[in-house]
Amino acid sequence: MKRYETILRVCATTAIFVGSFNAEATAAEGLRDVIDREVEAAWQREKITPSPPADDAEFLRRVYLDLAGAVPDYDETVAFLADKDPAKRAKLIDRLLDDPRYAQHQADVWDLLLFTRSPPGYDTDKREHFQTWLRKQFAENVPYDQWAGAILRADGNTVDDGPPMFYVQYKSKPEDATEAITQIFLGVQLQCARCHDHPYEPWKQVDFYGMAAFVSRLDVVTVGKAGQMNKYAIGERPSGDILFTGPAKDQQPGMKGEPIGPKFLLGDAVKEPPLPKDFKEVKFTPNQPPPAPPFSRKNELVTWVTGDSNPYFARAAANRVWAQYLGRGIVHPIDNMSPSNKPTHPELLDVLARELAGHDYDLKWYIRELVNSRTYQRSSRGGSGAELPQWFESARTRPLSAEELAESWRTVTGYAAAEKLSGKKPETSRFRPLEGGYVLRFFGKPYNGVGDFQGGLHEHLYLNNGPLGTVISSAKGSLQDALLTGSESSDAKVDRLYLSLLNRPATESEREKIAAYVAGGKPDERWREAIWAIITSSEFRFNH
Amino acid sequence: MAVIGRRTFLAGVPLGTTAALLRCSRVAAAAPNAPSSVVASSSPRQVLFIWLAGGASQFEMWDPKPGRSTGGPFRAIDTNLPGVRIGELMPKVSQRMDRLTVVRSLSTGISEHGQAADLLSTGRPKEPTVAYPELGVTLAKELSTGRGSLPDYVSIFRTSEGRRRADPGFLGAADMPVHLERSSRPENIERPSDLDAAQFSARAALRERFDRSFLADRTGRTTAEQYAAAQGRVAGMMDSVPLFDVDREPEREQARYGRSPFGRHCLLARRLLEAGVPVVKVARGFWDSHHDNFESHRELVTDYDRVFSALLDDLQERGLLERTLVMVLSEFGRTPKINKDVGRDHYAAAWSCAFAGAGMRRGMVYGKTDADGAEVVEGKMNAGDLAATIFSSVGIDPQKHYQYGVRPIPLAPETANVATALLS
Repeated sequence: MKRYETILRVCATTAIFVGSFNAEATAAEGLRDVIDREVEAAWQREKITPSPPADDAEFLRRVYLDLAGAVPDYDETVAFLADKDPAKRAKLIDRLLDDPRYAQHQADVWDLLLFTRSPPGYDTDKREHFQTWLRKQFAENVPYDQWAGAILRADGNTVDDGPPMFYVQYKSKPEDATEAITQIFLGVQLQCARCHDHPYEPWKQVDFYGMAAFVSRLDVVTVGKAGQMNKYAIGERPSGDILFTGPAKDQQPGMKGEPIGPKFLLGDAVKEPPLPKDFKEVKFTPNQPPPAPPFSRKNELVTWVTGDSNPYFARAAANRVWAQYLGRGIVHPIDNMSPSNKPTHPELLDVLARELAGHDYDLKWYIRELVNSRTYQRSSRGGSGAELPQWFESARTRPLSAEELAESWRTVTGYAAAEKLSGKKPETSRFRPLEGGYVLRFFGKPYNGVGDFQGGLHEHLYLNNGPLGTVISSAKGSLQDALLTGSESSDAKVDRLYLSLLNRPATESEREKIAAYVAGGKPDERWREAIWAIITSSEFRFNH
Repeated sequence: MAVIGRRTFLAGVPLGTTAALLRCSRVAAAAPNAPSSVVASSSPRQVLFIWLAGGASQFEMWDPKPGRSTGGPFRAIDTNLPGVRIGELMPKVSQRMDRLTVVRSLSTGISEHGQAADLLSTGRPKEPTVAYPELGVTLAKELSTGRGSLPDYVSIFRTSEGRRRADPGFLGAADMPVHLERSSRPENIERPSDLDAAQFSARAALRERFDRSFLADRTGRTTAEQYAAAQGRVAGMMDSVPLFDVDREPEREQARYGRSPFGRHCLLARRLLEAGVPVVKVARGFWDSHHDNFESHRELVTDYDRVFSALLDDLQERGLLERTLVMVLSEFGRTPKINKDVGRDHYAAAWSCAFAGAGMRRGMVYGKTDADGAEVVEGKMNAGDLAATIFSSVGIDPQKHYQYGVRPIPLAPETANVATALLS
């Protein structure tokens, strides 16, 4: 095991050295330029032919989905495609980054990461206060290290503040909290080390429990009620140790075990002040804020996780957000950053991490650089057929999330516009008019455990025979209404259909196909069926 | 990984274990006399999974203790297996014991409903960072022929008590069973009422044309192609509507299974198995008898006796029993102690389950509890051992791995031992 630790340290040193030598941004150069330079240099080296740049329509739909979590509507599409301004892409990016939907979308992405679709723990499904808080962090562009720190510090309660909800899901399960914290915020997978020394990685079982010791004294305390909802706070007991008994397979009843103190992952042990002689263990009283311990292990962890001395935090964040936009991490899978899993572009990853930390973890700045790069703005046409191209030579293909689908269906069919026009107060569900639980069941977990897209028979049955038809509104203001009652030519109508549903003009052959289809039956039924056929097609289902 | 036959293993080539060792250091735990990669020699191709939700009482069914303070009011009766007695509420089953395999030595440790149901239906306690697939899901994935338009797994759970969806866990939605919950017909299987058949297929054809042109030169087309291809199974699924309609069975068949929901569901299960669905689950609730255990079991076990016997006969007559493993499980059994409400509480330390059909050795009673049924004295099996034995009996190597992120996960826990004596 010792051997790996050495390798890790050597790698880290070399990488920083090489990075500062070759790949660093010069004063005149933005991060986006470094990205393109490094990615394009790798193509040369690997003899890869990239896809052409994305055209405006391709870029438009992709960037809307990636920044706002929904596709643009007809008017936005037409205006952008007609705009002659050479800087229109950068301007659109700026506009979307300031759109409230940016905060919503980012909050969705991180909420899903922090809680998954079915979080463990009681009441974690009722976390709208956490979600509101998270949205606010993105709306105000609070630096990532600050809000990540707030989640781990867990001050206040789950209703008035929000952040403590993260730990609530791990009540009495410090090992699970440890796995989640290291995977999400440090990009490393320690779960193997929970039960045994890891066969290929530098961390041993004692390293796992050294990290677990930071959160092993935490407890969930009910501190009040807000309506039907419980308010929870996180208390930290002043004493108590994890007793380590060795590999899981050797466990026997009655084993005593050695106490393991807090120790940062492959870093230093934390020296704790001794407890006073007359010390009595604290019992948390319901409905009272838990008192702070004389020495907080949890707060030591927060300082280390989000601080400069930790080699993982910035790299993990830079790599994770990169993968959100480019499809694949420079280290992939993104939460398995270990000496045995090499980055494809090591110098670039060093620069990204250093620049993100150097810009005080300003995620909006970082995302702006990513999506302004030529690399992000490649076409998804051509390429190898791989979903997540390893050398970023083509744009990736990713399925829309359940939230993106519902919002996009509502936008493109004009359901949302008709709803607005009707003057009636819309339902508040994000999945309206579809039933949320139902949408989540079919579209909420699009991947399996190794990241393969799982859309299949169930989804198609839902799309064919389920309630999707309720989104295809025919009310005034809807697309269907415009197609039926409009006086435009047939070609112009097909263009409207495509610009509305897929944010691009129709091709010549598509114009013919649709015109023939509509002419083959009752126009209202045929337009409706054409809308259905497009919003259930693969081109709609994926962001590409 | 190839499935390893028992003969191969005995020849000294435990491939499963070797491969596991290479991948993860925690393997190497199986006892040498019960290697966990053993599989049965003649393997069933289908599984009927009967789930008695809430915890059926082993005392009133498979492991009676008449005359003891824990035994309750019912007698034990002889069966067509010499020396084997079961509860008197199962007279019909008693005459079919030669087709059954009963395990009386389960000791599974967890006696809270949700956690125990997780344990028994996956072979492992729940872990928040890994959602393990339910047994039926894994069995269906392994037994799937990959052909045809029928689902690989249909799970019938109509009663509300203890309802759980068979969770595909980290395997994901592609392996999700078809759940029959609100109705005996799968959701979204019927054409929307505002479309006629011609419109429906015209619309589908239009969609397919769009997909073809989109997929022509696209990054990620492999994924998108698979997605588009699944659309091709929709029509076949929709054609299977009549299969889910037990009223199409002759009156005689319906009468044989009886009118109870459990009977109707078992009849539906038989229709599905006969049509070739690899795995069918039938859940029957209301076994959680903290009050009036004996009254409720008199009713439940009597119904079970009739339906299960009819099912066994029917499967046998149709030749299905030769290719189908039938397994009857709960989350736990019930306490030896009879409580003040004349009920029995949850008990995981010593309880029973049953099998029939192919895969397990017929006419066998495995394991033994003490005189009061409080402890297992012979053949103790935990939930992992049970899962490994089930996989083995269907010809699946329990140490075969699925990949979950960077972690290779064997179908049954590495530490599980196969009860080889049970295998046919």
